[in-house]
Amino acid sequence: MNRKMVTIDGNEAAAYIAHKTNEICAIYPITPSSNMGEHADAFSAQGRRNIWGTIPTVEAMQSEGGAAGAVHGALQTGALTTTFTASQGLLLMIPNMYKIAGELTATVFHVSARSLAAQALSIFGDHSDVMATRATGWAMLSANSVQEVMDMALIAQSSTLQTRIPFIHFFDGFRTSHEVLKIEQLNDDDIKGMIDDEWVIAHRKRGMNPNDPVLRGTAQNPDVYFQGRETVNPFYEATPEIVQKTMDRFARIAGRSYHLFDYYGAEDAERVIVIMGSGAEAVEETVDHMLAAGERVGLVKIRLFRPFSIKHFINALPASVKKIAVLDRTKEPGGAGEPMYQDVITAFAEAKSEAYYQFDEMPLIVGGRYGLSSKEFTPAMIKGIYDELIKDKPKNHFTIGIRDDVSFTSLDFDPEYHTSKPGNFRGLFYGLGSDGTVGANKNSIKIIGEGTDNYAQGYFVYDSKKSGSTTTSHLRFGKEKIRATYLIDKASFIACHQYELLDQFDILSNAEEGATFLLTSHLNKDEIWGALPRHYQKQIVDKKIKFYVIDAVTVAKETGMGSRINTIMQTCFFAISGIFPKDEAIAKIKEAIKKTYGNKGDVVVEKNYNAVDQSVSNLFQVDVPNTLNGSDVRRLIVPEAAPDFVQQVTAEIIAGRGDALPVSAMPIDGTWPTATTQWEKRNIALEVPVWEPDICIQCNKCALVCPHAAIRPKITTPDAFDNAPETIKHIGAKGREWEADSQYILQVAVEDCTGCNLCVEACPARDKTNLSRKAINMADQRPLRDSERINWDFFTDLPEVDRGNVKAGSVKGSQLLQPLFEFSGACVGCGETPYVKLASQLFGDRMVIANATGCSSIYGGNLPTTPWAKNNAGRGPTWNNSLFEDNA
Amino acid sequence: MGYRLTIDKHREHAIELMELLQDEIGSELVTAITSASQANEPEIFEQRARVKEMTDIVERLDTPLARQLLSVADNLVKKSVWIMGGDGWAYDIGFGGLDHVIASGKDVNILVLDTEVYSNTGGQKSKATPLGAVAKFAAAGKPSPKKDLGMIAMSYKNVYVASVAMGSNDGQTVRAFMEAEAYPGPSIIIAYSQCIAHGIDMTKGMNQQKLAVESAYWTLYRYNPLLAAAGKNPLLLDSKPPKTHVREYAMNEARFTILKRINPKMSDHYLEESDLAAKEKYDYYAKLAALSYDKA
Repeated sequence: MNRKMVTIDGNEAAAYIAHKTNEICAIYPITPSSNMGEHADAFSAQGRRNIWGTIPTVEAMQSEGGAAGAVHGALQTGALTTTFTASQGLLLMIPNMYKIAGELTATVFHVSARSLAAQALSIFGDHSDVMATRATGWAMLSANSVQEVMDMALIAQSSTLQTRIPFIHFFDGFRTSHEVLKIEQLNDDDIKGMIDDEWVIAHRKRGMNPNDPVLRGTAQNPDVYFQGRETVNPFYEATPEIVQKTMDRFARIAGRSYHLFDYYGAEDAERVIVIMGSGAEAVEETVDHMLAAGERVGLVKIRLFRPFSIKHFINALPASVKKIAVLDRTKEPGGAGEPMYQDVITAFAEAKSEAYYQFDEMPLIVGGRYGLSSKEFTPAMIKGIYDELIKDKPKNHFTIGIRDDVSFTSLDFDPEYHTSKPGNFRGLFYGLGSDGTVGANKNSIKIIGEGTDNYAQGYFVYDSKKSGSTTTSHLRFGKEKIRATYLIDKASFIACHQYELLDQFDILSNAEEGATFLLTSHLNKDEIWGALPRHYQKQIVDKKIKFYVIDAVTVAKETGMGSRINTIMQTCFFAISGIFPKDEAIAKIKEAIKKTYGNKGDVVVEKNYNAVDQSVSNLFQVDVPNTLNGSDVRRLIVPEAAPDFVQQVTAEIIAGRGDALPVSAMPIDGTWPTATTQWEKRNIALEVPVWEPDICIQCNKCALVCPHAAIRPKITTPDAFDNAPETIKHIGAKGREWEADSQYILQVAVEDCTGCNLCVEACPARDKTNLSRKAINMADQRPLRDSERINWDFFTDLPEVDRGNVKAGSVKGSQLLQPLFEFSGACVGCGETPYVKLASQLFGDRMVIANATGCSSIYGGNLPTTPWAKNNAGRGPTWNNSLFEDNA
Repeated sequence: MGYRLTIDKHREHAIELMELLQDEIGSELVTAITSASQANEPEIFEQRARVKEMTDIVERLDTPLARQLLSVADNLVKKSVWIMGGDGWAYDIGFGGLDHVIASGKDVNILVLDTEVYSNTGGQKSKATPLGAVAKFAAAGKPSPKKDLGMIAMSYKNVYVASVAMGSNDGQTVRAFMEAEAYPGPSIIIAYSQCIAHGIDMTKGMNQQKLAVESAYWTLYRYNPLLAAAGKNPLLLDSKPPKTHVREYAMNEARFTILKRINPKMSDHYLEESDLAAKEKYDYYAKLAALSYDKA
């Protein structure tokens, strides 16, 4: 049977094998592993069968603890069973994992390795979670790339059935779990070739059955527990050899050869890096580059981390090795060193007296930390580590990739060191989470990966805002296998899918000479040049960038796509990138649209088709003049009035320069100031509400439903408007509770509004002469921005209403109270935040909040800014995100 | 829960310390502080002033006891303890803890932002997901109905329970928040929250809330144990009798219409069953709300 080339991500690769080789999947969602469960569920819903011809049962449980319990039960009754998890979810499985291992039960857990919540939660990738399970007695097998995920998932499944040791098969969260890569898909014959039926039957036979009753899980006492614990030793001793044999069998079937420890590099290498996970790919690429420059370097990729075979490890190294850097993607505060470093030291200490030990002198071994929470790990950093090893006394317990100005652990490196080769396509696409850029790019990769003989890789960077979040897509195509497990910093193609992002990021800073730049703009090809900031103009001229422009927003509007400009920009990309002939590209995009949106109905598909056709005729190349006439004024990231911490730390994170912040800039214990969203003027709304005082009945319903506290009423004295800005509006207050002449004002924070329209929908007051005109109506944000910014500042300076005078228990009264939850990153039109805001208005000055992990903990506590705010007396809600599972 | 324990413990300890320092502080002020009911905002503001007066005195003492008292004195002013989370937490993974806390009788407020799926991880089904809705982990439509969390909470009798949907009845929402916070025991508010995972036009979110209540898909009620103590029925049904089929609500949401396309027969079956269950639930709640609590 031929093997298919597929363009999929690590999660899908793992789910594919897991679904083929199991009967039961007990699942629970946790980022970044959820997609594995979703794939398994969808495969079963589609009626896909495993290699034994049955459709696996997929059961969602109430927690990871529950999933692990269900797995244990299913295994104990003899079913081939698996689960997928990460981070705290894996930790919740630990109690069951001890039991599963203690009972010598065959299973594989597929883990997209992720940071643990410590000073803060992080959804991103490192090995903190899997390292926390290394005492459970499970075998641990690492996959470093999407192809390896598919391969190792199968090797793990085959090995566990032979060894009776349960396996964690893990790969780096996001970097591998969400990287889309063109890989070879194993077929059913391959998989069957790796699993003997007799192993499966033996596994079932060990399952409990009342026809042959046994008892497992006794309570043992001091007399025998210890001895009972030692019975398993032969199984652990046998495992490394069995896994190696399984890898050899795999090599015969699939042609890809793996070892427990794979050495790569010079035969006479003196400096070696030992590493596990996706970082190994980048090291391999760097080693190639350094070998070409005549350096004697190498690397050891640890694949089977548990059981750790000292003999195999020592034998993997060339005898010439003088210095070793062991890189851990985790942190064990207070330990003698991180786990892999300690294992390597132990390995040398133990192997010294063994016959297989081949070193005259024990190499110098240092340990280092890298890549926590998906921190970039680049060839430049790797070169920095190899360079450090040249020194007589290289730094031990170092960090790489950050600036540690507190305990001075960090190594310096030259950021200009690159390994990328010319000729390969490297594209960066800047967009918003809501505009579909990522979805379109995933389609593009599939189109190119599956439609050409190019290798293809896609990786997607998100911030965690739920509305107006920015995304950066990193796409690589080329004839050679792609090992770049890091972001693109020299791009041959750059697309900006949101005009506003020009201000926020220096989008062309990563453009290489002769790159192509595609921009969507409300300005046409003749107007755009003068509107560009000068530093953009300069880069376009200096780097000889080919510049294209399209008004995708208008095309989207006219073709009924609403705010989704993804298909339009994707079409432009294909039209100018030249990867396919234009007509062929368009046909392929349409095919992809059918596949992606087919289940949403024909209308959606047709709309997308139309958008594709309109895109091409609205795309123009800009004649680049040599004159630099753009403005040199850069927008302030936060207003000058912002506090020092916001200026120095928050603003840097907002500007996308958080990576450069040193350790000393960080709060030591995860404590951050509240009330900082007010400084992040996001300007993400295309349209904002405009108030018509003459129609308004002052019911305040608009303020109640606003998810972002961006429309607010106040009651004030008439003299408060003595020095008011020109365009401010106010009107006599309705209601007997107010003194005569009191004024009512309804003000919109147009820079914070997300344009969701809920307020306009909620407004019950209409103009009797024109029923389509309400007391608030949406209008373009851009022309209002400057005047309304001034009005908003004036409004916030107006005194808050005296709480004693307000009927807080009414809709109208409650909305006169200051919201102490404002401008969160929640979705446009969020249904949750109006309730949260209401609570903050009613009780905010005395609230203590425990927030379970979920949307509310993310829009409530996701950096850079925090929406929980303070009143003028400095009081306000104080907040902590407990864990998901025990918030109450 | 931990917050409540600290606040209660530190309040208790602050009172003990004030009593030891009674001569310096003045017994009148100590009594005023310890006996303040702090039942509403003006009373809380008065208590803040009293505590400030007391701490001003104590600050001047500069003794070990005084320093101890200053470190816990903030807890003499009422604080509002809130536990917030979504339905994935409240119905599933955190339910054991939530159940324990509402059973404890402690004065905490729980806000359940019920989007009927795990929104943060991308929309996987929870036990709050309704019958027949397509979600991740329920690609073929969820075959079991939503759990009635409010009914479980009400079974404790001493828990304030409210089910709200501000797009349907905003006044009821505000009243529920006020009552929940004022109730001197555990309170839980289950708040209908539209979500992008529902596959709706988000500008119409509040309208969906309205349709949800009109069809009895969602029920508005408040259960206040203080009413039972006063001899009245604790359950106030705030929803009006249903006037539309659940279909009117569901067919605006992709989570239901997807199934209509991929499996129309199942979709119809689920919608009929949902409608029947919604009406039955409304009737049941109406009967409960009509029960006599007259002790005579």
